[in-house]
Amino acid sequence: MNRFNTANHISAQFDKELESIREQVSTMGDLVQKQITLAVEAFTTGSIDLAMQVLRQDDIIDEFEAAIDGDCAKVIALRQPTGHDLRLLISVIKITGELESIAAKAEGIADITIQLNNSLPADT
Amino acid sequence: MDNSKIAHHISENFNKELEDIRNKVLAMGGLVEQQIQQSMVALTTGDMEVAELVIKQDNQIDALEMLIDAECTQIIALRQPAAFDLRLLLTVLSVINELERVGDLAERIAKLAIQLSSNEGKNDNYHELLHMAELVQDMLHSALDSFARMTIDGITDITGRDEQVDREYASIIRQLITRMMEDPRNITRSLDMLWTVRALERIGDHACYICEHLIYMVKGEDVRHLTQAELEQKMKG
Repeated sequence: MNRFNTANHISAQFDKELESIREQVSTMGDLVQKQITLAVEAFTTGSIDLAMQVLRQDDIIDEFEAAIDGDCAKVIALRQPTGHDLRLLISVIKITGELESIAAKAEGIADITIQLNNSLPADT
Repeated sequence: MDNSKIAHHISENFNKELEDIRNKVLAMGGLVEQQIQQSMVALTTGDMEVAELVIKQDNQIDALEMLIDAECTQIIALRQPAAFDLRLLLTVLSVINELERVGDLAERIAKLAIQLSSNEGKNDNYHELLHMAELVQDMLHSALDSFARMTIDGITDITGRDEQVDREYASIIRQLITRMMEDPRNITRSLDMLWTVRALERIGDHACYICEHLIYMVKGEDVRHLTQAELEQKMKG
């Protein structure tokens, strides 16, 4: 089921806006999953390079969050949706917040990986 | 209380709705502050009744969050607000989410207080922990005060205090690690203390997030993920 109802509005432009938000959330979700996988791999293999990559990529997720939230606020202001569309947009804002928190945990795992490697005794 | 930002609508009812939402957020904030205070009392005095009370009262915070959440959504749907009003309502949704998480952290501290009290060897020095708690409670209080006044004057002073919180956090962690290395019998207890300081550190972070939401509300700019220096620069410009 397409929750975004992206082909049901009289305004085709509104459909496009919701579709774009849906795509962005989906991309952000993929990125966050990759970050978790990468962070765990960095930790288990002790790879500082991978950990650094996780840290670098966290910025992209922050940018996604800001962009999606901005788009949602704009759509609410301009389209004044009610009912399902409004609940959907507010849910999106909450979900981007959760995804960002999850990504921050991946960043935390990467941080710990780097710290742990730096604090290993020299003779091991 | 200064109502100039929310009491200018032609619809008296809309003014009332917004004011009612603000008051509810402040009530929720007050409850959360009280929960932190009580959880620290439970921790330092070992008073289990207080700890149990904190755990029991967390439901009230969750209920308030859901209530305010539903009211905000309803107002957005019915009033179709724009500009500041819309940002205010979206900000309330974010702020109550932060408050709910702080409430969970207070509950976490209360649970740790119970574990710590049932555990041998109460030779903890709570002095530094209490100082850190005071710092984050001040940050949260100032953030809620800014929300009450709907202003962001001096907001970077609040977020700036997080650096000191982080320094104290690192210092307490170092001491706990030293204690664990001195005597392995300290490990269980030190780990519980470690979770406690971490909960306090997270409360400071959430106070900062509230400040960032307030900047969005007043200026319409998304300032999340900036460093303190970048934030200060932005607020000057």
